[in-house]
Amino acid sequence: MQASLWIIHRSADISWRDWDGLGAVYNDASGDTHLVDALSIEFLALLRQQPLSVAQLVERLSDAIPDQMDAETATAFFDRQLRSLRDLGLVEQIVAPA
Amino acid sequence: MSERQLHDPQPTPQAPAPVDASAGELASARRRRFIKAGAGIVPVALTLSSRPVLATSQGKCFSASAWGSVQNLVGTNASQYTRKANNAPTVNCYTLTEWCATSSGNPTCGGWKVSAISCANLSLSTVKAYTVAKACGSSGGTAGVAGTSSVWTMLTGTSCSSAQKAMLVAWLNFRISTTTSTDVCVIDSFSSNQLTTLGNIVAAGSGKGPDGKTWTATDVQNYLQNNYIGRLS
Amino acid sequence: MKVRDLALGDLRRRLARGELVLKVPPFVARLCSDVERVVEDLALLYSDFELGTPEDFADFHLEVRREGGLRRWLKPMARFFADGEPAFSQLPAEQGFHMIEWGLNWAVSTMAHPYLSYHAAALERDGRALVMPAPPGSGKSTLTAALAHRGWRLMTDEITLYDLASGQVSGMGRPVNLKNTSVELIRQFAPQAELTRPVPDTARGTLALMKAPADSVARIMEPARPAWIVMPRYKAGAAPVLNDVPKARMLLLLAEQAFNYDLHGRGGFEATADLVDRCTCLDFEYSTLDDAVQRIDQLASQA
Repeated sequence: MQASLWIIHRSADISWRDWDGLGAVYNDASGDTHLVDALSIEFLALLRQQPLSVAQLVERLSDAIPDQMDAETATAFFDRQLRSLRDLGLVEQIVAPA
Repeated sequence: MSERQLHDPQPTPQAPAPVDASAGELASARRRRFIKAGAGIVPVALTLSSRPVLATSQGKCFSASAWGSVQNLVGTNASQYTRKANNAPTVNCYTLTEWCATSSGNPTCGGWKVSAISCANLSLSTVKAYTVAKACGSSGGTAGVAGTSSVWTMLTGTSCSSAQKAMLVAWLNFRISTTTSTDVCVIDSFSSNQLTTLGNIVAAGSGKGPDGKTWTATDVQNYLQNNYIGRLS
Repeated sequence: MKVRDLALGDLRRRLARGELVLKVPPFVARLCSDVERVVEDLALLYSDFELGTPEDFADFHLEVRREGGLRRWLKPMARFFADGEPAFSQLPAEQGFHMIEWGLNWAVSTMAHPYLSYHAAALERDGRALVMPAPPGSGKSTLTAALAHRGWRLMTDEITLYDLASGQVSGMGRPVNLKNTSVELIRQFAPQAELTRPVPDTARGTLALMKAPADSVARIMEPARPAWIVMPRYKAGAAPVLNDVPKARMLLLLAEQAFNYDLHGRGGFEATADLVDRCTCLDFEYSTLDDAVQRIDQLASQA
């Protein structure tokens, strides 16, 4: 089964700044500015370096997942968060190369 | 990307950062502390929507008053104009050449496709059938060109003066500005009223310009050309 | 030459001919009007401002013209024109100068693109600027007027200009808009303040304009480094309280109050981010002007 990977949509158009748990993301393609949380910024920072699957994101961010959240819950949570970012036009899913 | 190391006014307990950690790594470490504490996980709450930038001909844009002042420069004001020109906004517009291009890959075709002009189909026959009245809208100011004429025929033919063509191009740019771009010199109802005034000056040959002085049709053409509102090329 | 150096008759004649060129740095406005109230209010509010000559470069051409017709004998009306185009509905001629002010705000906000312009007040003390973005009804103007008479230099009540290159803010030292109870409140709080004759019964209530103190006008050209962004909120009976606002949230709030944020694209985003980054971002609830001024002074005295 081919895994799907998340990437930043039109990476050159996306820039962000963050402070204290909240961040703002600017999308040059749409001209929109979004208020997002630290987790979203962390996703963008990691995906800027390389495409990653949800499982890989959970692994990379294992030190940041709240203690009360198990891996399965974290996976579902991350997946929902990424879909929200996708709806904003900031990230997209691709099929991993074979 | 712009990610900067920022002063944190609410220090939280943390392990000491490596001495050679990059700014990005430090920022990431700080974010992860917030995420772990649950404070860095909140629903996306706000989007400030905007409009995208068109990549077309670019140049500088002055108000009609400022432009009128430029035409009356006396000696020492030239440096003032240069300073203002350097700081004036860079705006975009399609030129006559771009509007009239026939190759399907030309960005102009995108302009004709915009819903404000109701050209959903990219067929040249639809474009060619667009009337002057439709381009100039209900406020008029067709610059003396018959409203029932085809815009395409007027732009590509020889029956219109350069000033009239510049006005038609300005109207077309105005039409697409309301749905595609904010960085055009003409974008709102004030702009369309101004285009009507300028069109009436072109139709009459001369008239009271936006700065209170008398403008000729050539003055209008120069203003449209030099402020990237309606350029011939 | 300043406005106050002109005899009233000369001022009236220049205005009638459209030859009144007013310097409101960094802009120049050419004014034209045949309304007597405009002459009177201009002479008061802009007495310390420099005049240019008709040959000077003008950024805007603003006009308030009396409307004709039989009604003019019963209730004189006037209309505002910007660059020859009518803008706003016609209004009683006694509101003529308010129309000039609104028109100048509109002209600057739509054409001041070398800057990022925000709908915000700004005041300066010791080289540092307090920026107060606020939607209408927040009490921003009343607070601005009060601070301007308690040791703060008034930079602007309405439009703060942010220079992307230098990172500094400036204003034009123009009058402060007051309405309804604020008019009397400021008269009591600062008896030395110079106000226009209030215009009653407008669609927005009773209106008056407060002249910027002479020192503020003398120092129009001095920008200041922004240090605090404070969103004021008047609340009856409230104790004066300053609360932190998360910077990312303040970024969006500021961008929302920016007139030309879209035009600057990514540059506008980065510049607004730089601005919130270097400032303390707060909201401020208050009820009395004495309390408010004292609390803001305390803020300024902290390192």
